[in-house]
Amino acid sequence: MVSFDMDVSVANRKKSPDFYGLVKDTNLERIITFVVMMLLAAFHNLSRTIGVALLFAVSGSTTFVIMGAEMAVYIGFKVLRNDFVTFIPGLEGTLKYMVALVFHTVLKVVADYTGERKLFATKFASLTD
Amino acid sequence: MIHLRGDPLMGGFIFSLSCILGQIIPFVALSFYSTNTTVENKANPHEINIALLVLACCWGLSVIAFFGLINRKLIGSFYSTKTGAQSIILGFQFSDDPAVKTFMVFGFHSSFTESIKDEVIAYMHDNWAEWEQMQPAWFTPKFIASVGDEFIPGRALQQLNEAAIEAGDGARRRSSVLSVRVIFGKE
Repeated sequence: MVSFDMDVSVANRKKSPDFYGLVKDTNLERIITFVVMMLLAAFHNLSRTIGVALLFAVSGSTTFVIMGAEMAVYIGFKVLRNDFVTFIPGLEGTLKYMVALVFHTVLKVVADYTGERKLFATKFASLTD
Repeated sequence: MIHLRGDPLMGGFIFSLSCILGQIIPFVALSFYSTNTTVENKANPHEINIALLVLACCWGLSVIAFFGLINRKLIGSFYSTKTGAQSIILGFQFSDDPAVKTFMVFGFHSSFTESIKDEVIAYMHDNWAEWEQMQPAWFTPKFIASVGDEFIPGRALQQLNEAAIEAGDGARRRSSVLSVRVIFGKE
């Protein structure tokens, strides 16, 4: 719902037209897109959750190895592309790397398992202030 | 969830890859589950496989429906390989709105725009006097406090420092620089 609301926001679309504006403008298209987005998130989260549940049924260590490997690949990808430091302004020295590690870990978990957007909405919402 | 595809967050390509991986991992997990002999009260792997296939098909149909419904011109954001810094720099360079341009520079980590620092300094120096005079809504004390000294023209910086001294704060100080040393009071 947060994604939908942010996407249809006129102010967001004006300031970031390359990112916002996925949802078309008629009421019918918006309703259908909203339902499809909900279904997409639901199926995605259900698949992920069942996968993790099956792995946990096998063993906890197998679960952590597979999930950890996925996380390591993601963070390694970010580091190799020199894209590890997060957008949060004002962080310097060791702190910016510590925050980046926590940030990317949380971001990946949130994207993979919950579909929760609120944690990141504030930053994008500030574009509209 | 789709907003996490933003370049300063996950990036479109890796976000989409994660979503696809999310559909593959349950089948990998099922292969571990079905071959493992230590699991007690094991459910029928064949039935789980059918359930996973149905879920994956429903997910695939939802993806097709989603891409069929959205504006085609933004589909590229789902496979964008731009880094956060590249995205922010493009945002700065291609926007005509000072609010957006300054947000792109000072609303994100300074390392994002380090490679165009000279361009940003020139832009800020060229426009600072006009903003001081016009006082646009975004040109707030909070914004000014977030701007590094090097981005403020000499005369304006001197005035800000003098105002800070008069207010008893010493020289102007940036409000948003944080490091481990600052947190633990070493600076």
